Amino acid sequence: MSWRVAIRMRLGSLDLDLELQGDDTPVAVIGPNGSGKTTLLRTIAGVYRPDAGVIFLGKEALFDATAGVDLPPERRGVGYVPQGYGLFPHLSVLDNVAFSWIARGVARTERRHAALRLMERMGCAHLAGRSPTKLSGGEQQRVALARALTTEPRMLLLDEPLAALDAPSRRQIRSYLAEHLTERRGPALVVSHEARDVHALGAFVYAIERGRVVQSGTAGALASAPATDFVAAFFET
Amino acid sequence: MRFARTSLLFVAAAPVLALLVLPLVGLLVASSPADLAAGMRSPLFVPALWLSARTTVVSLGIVVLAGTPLAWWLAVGSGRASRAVEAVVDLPIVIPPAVVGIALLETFGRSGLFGPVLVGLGIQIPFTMLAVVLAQVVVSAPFYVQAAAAAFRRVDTDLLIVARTLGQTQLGAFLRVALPIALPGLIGGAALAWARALGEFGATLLFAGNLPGTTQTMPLAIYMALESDVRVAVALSLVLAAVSVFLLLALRLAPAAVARLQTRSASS
Repeated sequence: MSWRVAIRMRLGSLDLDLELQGDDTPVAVIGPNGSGKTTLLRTIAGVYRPDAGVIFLGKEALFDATAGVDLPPERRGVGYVPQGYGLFPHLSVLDNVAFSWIARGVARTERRHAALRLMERMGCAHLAGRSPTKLSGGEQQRVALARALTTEPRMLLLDEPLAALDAPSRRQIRSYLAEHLTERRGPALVVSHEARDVHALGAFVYAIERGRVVQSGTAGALASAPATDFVAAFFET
Repeated sequence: MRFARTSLLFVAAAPVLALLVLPLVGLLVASSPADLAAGMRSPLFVPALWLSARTTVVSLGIVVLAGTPLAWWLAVGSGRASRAVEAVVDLPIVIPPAVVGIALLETFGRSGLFGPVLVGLGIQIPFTMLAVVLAQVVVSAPFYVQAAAAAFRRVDTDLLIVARTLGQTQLGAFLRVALPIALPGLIGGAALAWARALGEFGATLLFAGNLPGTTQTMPLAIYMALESDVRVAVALSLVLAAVSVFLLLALRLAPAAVARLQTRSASS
């Protein structure tokens, strides 16, 4: 499925004017702190309202300023995993994963069954009875991804999914992500701050600085001809 | 060196600490069980206790029902309006209760702001039980609203965003995520507000008067009893002190207990 984001907005001191598009190939968004990466994801999720522009998913407009379309987050069909994973601390891991079935009116036991089945498929069923506050970063990331997939989102938004992990679990989760993103075959936007993650996902890359796209292309293209110091430094390591 | 410094600090703090604790000890020592029993048989005792219980439960209900949405708005709002409202909410904390009482009288009294309207409708508020409740709401609401707003502010925005992308409406995300996470803080704030309403004296005396059975709450009954029979005043004081200590314990222990309960049910 193709998607397109072309938005203009001011949020505090951040002045955003972005145009990105893609298909089922994962897209990595890179850029220095405060360049607007998280704001971009949240805007696609429907948290912030752009001043102008469009957000299209396939043929459907999630947001269209001129047509007056602005779907609320719960009707966008978008999955969001924030930095820090966003697991609900007051619910068990199982109830975290089962959460989205509440809104669809599924009874408690049924949604727990469904959640457990999905967690088995994603190799994290053994965590079901735990409290999310007791999980390691890698475990939290698996659970958060499983939970985001329960809505069968048309687009997946992942904010620095590997940032808070130590090296061994980072390697594990990197291949875990790559595997599940390819298996899913839907658009995914991944904010990343490491070249290795971008390569592992085989992602198309957008480099953002101060709210503008400064360069886009395959990881190889950006690495061989970086347009800015940031892009050069990003692919150097 | 370290020891010397802590002991020095303790010596400096001792007078205030003593002043906080000794009066309660004095209250306990002053009353024999026989005095206590005599005090409880006084005609002042039961009506005041019952009135205080009823009015504070009602005022706490009003404070929680109206204060929770207000606290949420203060917590998520970033505009100038919410900053201004936050300052207004704090007003009753700094304004002396007696002033609050006069202000209420000048608002709902016969010659007050809404006086003519209320008289026209045949409604009298001053010197009724409603006045007691209103005075309690005004003086106790800030304590709950501030505590609740602080608890809501500690809820990670990302959790609410995630809840929305998982199908919840704004209200659903509030009820299923923000509210349970903030619950320990809300309980703490409610206990504080309840304690403040229970002890309310000045505003009640001026706005609601001191009518036994109608507006004479426990603190007013203590004031009244002191003129006739000090044993009654002491008995009433002991009951009020016991309730207050219980509320303090709830304030200190409930948040941790709720949090523990939630983690236990979360991992079961």
